Amino acid sequence: MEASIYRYILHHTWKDQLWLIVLILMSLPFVYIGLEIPKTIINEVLSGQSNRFVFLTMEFDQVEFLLLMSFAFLALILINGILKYVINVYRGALGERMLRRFRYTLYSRVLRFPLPYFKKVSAGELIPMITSESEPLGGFIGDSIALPAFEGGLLLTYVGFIFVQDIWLGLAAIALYPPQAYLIPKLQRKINKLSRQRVKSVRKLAYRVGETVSSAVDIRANDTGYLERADISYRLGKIFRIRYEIYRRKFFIKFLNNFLGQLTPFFFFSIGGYLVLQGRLTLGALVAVLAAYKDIGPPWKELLKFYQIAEDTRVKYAQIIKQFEPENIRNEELHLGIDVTGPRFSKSVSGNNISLSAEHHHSKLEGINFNLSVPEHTGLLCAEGETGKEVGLLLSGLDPPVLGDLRFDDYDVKDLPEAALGKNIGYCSPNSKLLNVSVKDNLLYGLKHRPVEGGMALELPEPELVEATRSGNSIHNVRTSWVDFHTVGTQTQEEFEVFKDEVINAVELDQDIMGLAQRLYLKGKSDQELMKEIVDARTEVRNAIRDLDDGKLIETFETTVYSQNLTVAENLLFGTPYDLAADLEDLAFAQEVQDILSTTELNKDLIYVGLEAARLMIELFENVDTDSDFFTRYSFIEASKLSKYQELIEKIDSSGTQSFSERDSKLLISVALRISPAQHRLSLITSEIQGQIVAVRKLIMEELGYDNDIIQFIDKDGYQSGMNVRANLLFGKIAYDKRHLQDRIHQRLNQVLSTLGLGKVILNRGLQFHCGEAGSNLPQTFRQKLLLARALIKNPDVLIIEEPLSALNFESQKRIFTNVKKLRDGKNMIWIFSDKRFAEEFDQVLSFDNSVSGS
Amino acid sequence: MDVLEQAQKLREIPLFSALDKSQLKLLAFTSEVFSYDAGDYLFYQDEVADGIYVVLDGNVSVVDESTEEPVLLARKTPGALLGEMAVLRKVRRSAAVRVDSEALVLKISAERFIDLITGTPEIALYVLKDISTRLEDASKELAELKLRQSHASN
Repeated sequence: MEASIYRYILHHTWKDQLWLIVLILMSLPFVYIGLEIPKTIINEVLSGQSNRFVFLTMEFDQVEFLLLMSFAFLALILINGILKYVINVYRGALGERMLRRFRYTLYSRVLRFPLPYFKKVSAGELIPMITSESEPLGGFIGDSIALPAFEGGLLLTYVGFIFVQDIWLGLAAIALYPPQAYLIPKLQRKINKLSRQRVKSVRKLAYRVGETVSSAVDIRANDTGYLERADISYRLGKIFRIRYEIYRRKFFIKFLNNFLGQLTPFFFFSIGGYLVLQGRLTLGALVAVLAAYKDIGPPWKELLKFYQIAEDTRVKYAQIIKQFEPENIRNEELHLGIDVTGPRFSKSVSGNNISLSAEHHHSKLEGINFNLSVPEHTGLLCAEGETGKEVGLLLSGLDPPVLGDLRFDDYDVKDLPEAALGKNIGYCSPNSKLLNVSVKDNLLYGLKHRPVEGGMALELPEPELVEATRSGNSIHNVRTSWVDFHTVGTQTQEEFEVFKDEVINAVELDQDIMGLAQRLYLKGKSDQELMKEIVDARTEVRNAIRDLDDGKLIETFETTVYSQNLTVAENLLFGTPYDLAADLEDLAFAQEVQDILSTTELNKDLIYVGLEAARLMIELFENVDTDSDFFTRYSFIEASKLSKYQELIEKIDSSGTQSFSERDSKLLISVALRISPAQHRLSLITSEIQGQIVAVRKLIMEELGYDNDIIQFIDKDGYQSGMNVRANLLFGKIAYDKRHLQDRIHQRLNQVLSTLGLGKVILNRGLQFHCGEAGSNLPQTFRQKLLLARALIKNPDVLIIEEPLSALNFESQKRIFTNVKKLRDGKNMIWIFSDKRFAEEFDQVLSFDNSVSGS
Repeated sequence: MDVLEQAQKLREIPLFSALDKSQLKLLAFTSEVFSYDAGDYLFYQDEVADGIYVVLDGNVSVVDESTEEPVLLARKTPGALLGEMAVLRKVRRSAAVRVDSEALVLKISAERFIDLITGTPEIALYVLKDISTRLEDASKELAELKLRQSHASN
C-alpha cells in the first residue's frame, strides 16, 4: 500500500481532484465580483457623485443602476451557492468512494495475511481499524485537495482584493502569517505524537474489551471483575490523559491563531484610517477591505482546522496500514489467481527437508522428508497437542513451510495460486468454523469460487457496477448462484444432487438434517403443499411408531381425552395461539374462558390444585438460592413471587377462603395451569378433575368457535401452525417417561417419511435451517459432521482431515470413517488422528510426535 | 408412582440418607423418571456421561461390551445407584447398563449431582468412602490375581 495518505489519494483520485480544482477555480471570479459589487454600490451609486451610469454600453439612472447592482449581487449569491453545492456533493462522493476502496483494500489484505500472523493480531483490533478508525479518512480524502484549494483560493482572492485596494493594507493583512506558519507546525508535531499514542491505546482498549467478552465465564468463575475493572479504568485514564494533553495543545494553537487574527484590524484602523484621512484611500475601499478581511477569517480558520485534521489523518493512516502489511503477505496474483481451476494433482504429496519455524510453531519438526502417493489413504498418528494441527496446515499448503519444499506433484506449494489450493485440496480440522448462514450454504461453501452461469448476471447490475468499479471493489454479483458443480466432477445438477446425498449419508447427517427440518414452524404459502402432505402422513406415522412400543411412546391428541403429557392450560384450551409469541396461560385468563370456568365451577378445583401445588413449591424452593436457575427450570412459581404466595397461603390458613380476592384466585389458578401429570408426577389432577377439564374444553371450543383468530384448536385434519413439523407428524406428545427413546422414535419417523416419499422434501427444508454464529444453533456433533461434509463435497484431489469427529463416540467415528473411506475409494485421503485405535484402519500410518526429524 | 413416593424411595438409598424430607422431595421433583422395557439400555459404553441413575423398580445388568463376548460385571436391584463415577471424572461411560426386566429409573442430571456433592458434605463424604471401598476391593482382587498368577507360574 502507498506509504503516505497523499500518495494514496493522488494515485487513485488525481483525475477527480483535478476536476474539483477546476470547479473551484471557476467559482473564484464570482467571489471576487461579489466583493466588487458592494464597493461599487457604496462608492459610485450611493456617493451621489453621478446620476448616469454606463454598463455594457447601456445607460442607467441612479435608482436603476442600484437595482441592477443589487440583483447582480443576488445572482452572484445564487451562483456561488450552486457552485458550492456541486463542489460539496462531488467532494463527499469522492471521499465515500475512497473510504469504500480503502476498507475493501484492508479487508482484501486480511484475506491474504499469512496464517501465523493471525496469532499476533486480534479481531478486536482489526475490526475497529476497518470500521471506525477508517471512517474519518473518508471525509478527509474528499477534502484533501479540494478544501485547501477552495479555502486557499478564497483567501488569496480576498487578500488579492485588499492588495488591489492598497498595497500597505494588503501587507498588513498578511503580516502575521509568517510567525503563524513557523509556530503552528512546531506545536502540531507534539500533537501528532500524542495522536499516535491515542490510536494505540484505544486499540489496546478494544482488544481488552473483546477479551472480556470472550472470557466472560472465566471472569465470573474467578471473581476477577474488580481486577478487570481496574485494568479498564487504568486504560481509560491513560486515554483521558492523552486526549486532555491533545486538547490543551490544540486549543492553544487556536488561541494563538485567534489572537494574531485579531491584531490585524488594529493595522487596518491605524494605517487604513490614516490613509483615508490623507485622502490616499477612499472610505468605500476601506469599508470593502474591512468586509474582505471579515471574510478572510473563516477560510483561514478552515485552513488551520484542515491542517490539524490532515496531520491527525496522516498519523492514523500510517498507524492503520502498518497493521495490514505483515511480512510474507500472500502474493496478490497467487491469491486472486487468474486460472479458475488451476493444476490438478494426481501423483504425490511430497516434502523435502521441511522444518517448522520455531518462532511460529509449537511442534519441533526438523528436516522431514516424505512422499505420499495421491490415490492412497494415509493415516498420520500425531501426539495430542498442536502437532496434528500444525502438520495439517502444513500439508494442506495453508501454512507453507519456511524451510524446505512441499510439492503437490511437481508444483512447489509456494508457486501455486490460492484457487488451486482452495479447489483441489480439501481441509477440515477442529478449528474449521461454520458461518452464520444456512446448513446448505455451509455445506456448499467450498464450491463457491466464482459466480456461475445459469442464474442471475455474473456481474453487479449497472448503477452498482459503476460505483464498485470506481471504488476498485469486487464487481461479482453476490446474489447469484456461486455453486459450481463442475469442479466436483459432476456434469449435471442431477448428478451433483446424487453426489451431495452420498456425502450427507456418508457423514450420517441425513437423520440430523431431517431432525432440524422437524423443528421448524411452517407458516408461509410456499409450505402449503408440504403442510398438507404432513397431515396426510399422520396415520402412517402413528401406525409405524405404535409398532415400536405398543402405543406407549406417543400420547396422541384426542379431543375427548385428557392428555397426561400436556399441562392443564394445554388440556383446557387444547390448541396453540396463532401468535407464536403469545402465552397460552394468558389466554386462559381471557374473559370468555374465565366465565366458562366460573359457570362450571372448575375454577374452584383449579384454585384448590393451585393452592396445594403452591404449598409444595414453597416447601421445596424456600431454601433454594433465588439466583439459581432451579426456579426457572423447575418451579411453578418464579423466585420473585415466592413470598407473595407465602403471604397468600398464610392468609388462607388463618382466615380460610372467605376474604379471597379475584387476584388471589388468579395467582393460584396460574400455578395449576402449569402442571402436567406425566412430567411433574403430582397426584393433584384427579381423574374427576381431568374429566371436568375435557368437558370444559368442549364448551370453550363451542364458545370461541374453530374459526376464531386467537387459538387454533387441535384438529386431526388440520396443520397446527403453532407446533413444529415433528409435533404435527406425530400428532401427539412423546410420553415423558419414554423420552430416552426419542432417538429411536425420530429414526422411525424418518424411515416412514422416506417410505412416503417425503424424505427428500423434508431434508431440503432442513438444509435451509440457520446455523447461527459459528454454528451455535447446532449441536457439536452436527457441526463436526457438517464441516467434514463440507470438505468431502469438494471432491478434492488431496483431502486432509484432522480429528474431524472428536465429539462422537469411537463407534460412530469408526462407522463414519468407513463410509468416508468408501466414498474416497481410489482418491487421496490423509487422516490425522491421535487415538491409536484408528491406526489399524489404514494400510499405511505415519507417526509424528511433537519432535520429529528425518524421513 | 408420584413424586412423594419417589422421594420415599430415595430415602432408602444410603447415599441420600443425609438429606432431609424436603431436600429429598426437591431431588425427586427436579429429576426425571423413565420407564424401560427388558432389553433397553440405560446408557451405552463409551457414551458421554450426562447423569446418574437410581433404579426405583426392576433389575438391570452392568455389562462390559468392549470385547466380542459381552462380560457381565454386576446385577443391580431397586435402590442401586449407577453411573456416578463417569460423572465425577467427566469421562465417557466405562460399561453399558442393560435392563433385565421392566424397570422404572430416576435420572439425576450430572450438573445437579455435582451441586449435591459440593453443597452437602455428608454426600461428598459418602462418595469418598464408597470410592475408598471400591479401591480397596480392587486392590484385594489385584493381589489375589497376582498370587494366583505366581502360583500358576510356579
